[in-house]
Amino acid sequence: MSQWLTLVARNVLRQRLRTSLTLVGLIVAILAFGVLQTVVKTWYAGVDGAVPSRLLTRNAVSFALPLPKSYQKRIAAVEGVRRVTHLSWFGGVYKDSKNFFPQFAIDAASYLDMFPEILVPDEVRRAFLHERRGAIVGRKLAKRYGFKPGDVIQLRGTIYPGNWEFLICGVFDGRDPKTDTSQLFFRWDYLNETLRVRSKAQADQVGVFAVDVAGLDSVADVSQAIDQVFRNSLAETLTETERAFQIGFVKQTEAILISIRVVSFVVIFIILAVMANTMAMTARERLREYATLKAIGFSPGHVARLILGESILIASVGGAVGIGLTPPVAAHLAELSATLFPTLIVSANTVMLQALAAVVVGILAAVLPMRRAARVSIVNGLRALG
Amino acid sequence: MTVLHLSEARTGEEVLIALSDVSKSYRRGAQIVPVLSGLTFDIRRKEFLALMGPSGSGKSTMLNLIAGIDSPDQGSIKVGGEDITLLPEAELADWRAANVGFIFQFYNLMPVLTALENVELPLTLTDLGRRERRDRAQLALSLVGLSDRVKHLPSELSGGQQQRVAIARAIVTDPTVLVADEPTGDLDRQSAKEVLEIMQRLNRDMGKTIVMVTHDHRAAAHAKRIMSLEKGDLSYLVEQRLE
Ligand SMILES: Nc1ncnc2c1ncn2[C@@H]1O[C@H](COP(=O)(O)OP(=O)(O)O)[C@@H](O)[C@H]1O
Ligand SMILES: [Mg+2]
Repeated sequence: MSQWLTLVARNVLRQRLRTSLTLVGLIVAILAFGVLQTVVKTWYAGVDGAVPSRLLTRNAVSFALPLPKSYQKRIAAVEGVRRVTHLSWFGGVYKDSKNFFPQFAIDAASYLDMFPEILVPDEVRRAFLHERRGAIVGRKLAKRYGFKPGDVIQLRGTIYPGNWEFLICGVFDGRDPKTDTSQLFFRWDYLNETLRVRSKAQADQVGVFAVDVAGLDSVADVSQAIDQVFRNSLAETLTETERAFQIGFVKQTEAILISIRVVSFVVIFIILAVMANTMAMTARERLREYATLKAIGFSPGHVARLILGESILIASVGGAVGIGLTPPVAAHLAELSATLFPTLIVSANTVMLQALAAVVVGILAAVLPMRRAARVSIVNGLRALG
Repeated sequence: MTVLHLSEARTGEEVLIALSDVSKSYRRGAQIVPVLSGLTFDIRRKEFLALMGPSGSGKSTMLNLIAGIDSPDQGSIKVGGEDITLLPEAELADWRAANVGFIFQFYNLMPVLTALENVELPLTLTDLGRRERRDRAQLALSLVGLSDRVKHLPSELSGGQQQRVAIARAIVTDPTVLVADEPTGDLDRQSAKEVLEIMQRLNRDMGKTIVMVTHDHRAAAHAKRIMSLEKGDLSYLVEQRLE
């Protein structure tokens, strides 16, 4: 056993350049695979983070169309509804249109109560509730643009006309890593009062109502009951769970996600081909050694395990380094992507997939060389040039 | 097929290896090339046999058959009474591990293992402990005069030294027979002489049975008996000399 390991380990180090190049390829492949998997997972993260007892009520025709603010009271009156709040997509531009980040107009008090994943220090909350033009920004957003409490920032409206000024009251954190802290929240009452002056037709409307349901069992009934209230009205509603809402949102980008998934597996397939070629070359050069081993009594299985061990060792080292590099690279990518990905956290599941991919590559790459080395007759192997 | 002057009982030792009516041919594409045909002869225990003959006459083929790394198309090869042609692949491998020591023209050492590790290698197939293996490998290396080279890799040794390591590897399991295919074919005259003297000593002092293929008369002169494989229509054996 120890002799076997010695042979495997030293054989790996024999063609240093070839082994190094293969290793680099493996590292890059396992890294790319991990990062791409993480990107896909993160895209679905909103779906995973959805709270099952929260419903979202939107305009039945489209995400983009608003609902009258007056619906809030009527929703609150539906049996089984505990709390209702609302949020409206603002879609403003900060300085330059490439500076994209989500901004929502909210009913500050009720929203922060219903979304406990948004962690706001008490004094920030007090300031926010006090200051009509106030806004709170997520940790990541604040870091990216250097927003500090007391700053006054200006957003140019795209949906709502004109320039809008906000006073930064403070920074919020996410309760868990999945919480998006690249957003800005400001007060809907400020939006609405301004609209009454600037753009009356857009006033007294909100984007989406968020509904907190008393019991999990009644979620389905409540969502039907809400939509029933507004049937045949001017703006019919569609109420679904936060999860279903997120899925609907992610569905729009599904083709991209599928492509990314496919690419991540193609990368693994390519490195498998590279690795198989390396192992085939290596085994071919050592046919005489394998024949010698067989002559002195080693079984074909012994010889095959030498090749398998070597292949798995290379794949494991490459895989381990690739896995180790994935979190920092993903984090860096999240930084670069600004607010597109709030965070890129590599899940345990992804790490397992990476490890599995590396081991499978190691095993599959060895299959043909193993068969060849095990099957070549001793006499022919001894005649091979070494 | 003819066998001439098969020498009987010079030493009084029992027959160790008995080939009877052994034939072997190779297929080259659609063509069948006969190499050995109906060969019958004996090798006795403690013999040092040199097998000579022109290139292509089938010397290596015959040695490979005796060593159990190739199988005849026909005939039986008995070693110590056991017909090795009847052994299935896996058992034949075990049989070789226990009974045959190989010495090759190009040494065939594992380039990544030191001299000591190379010699130890066949012992890893036995159930000897680590210490015991080390000790035996050391002993084998000292028998070929390489006690001071145990930590060297093959690439750090001369051809003659590498062949001596190979001899140590061949004898470390104390096999029934040593087979050597052109063991001096790649060596200068001085190294060849050293190697042959070691083999002679192994035969004379330790009673090792050796079958050596060579086309070099100087090498063959170290053996106790020389046979020639001549190639007419078919190969046949000629007894050349009795000691
Ligand atoms: N594996 C093989 N396949 C085809 N022909 C072979 C093979 N091995 C040996 N031969 C042929 O058999 C003949 C005898 O070969 P060999 O035993 O190596 O001769 P020698 O060792 O006496 O030079 C040669 O003609 C050689 O070409
Ligand atoms: Mg030959």
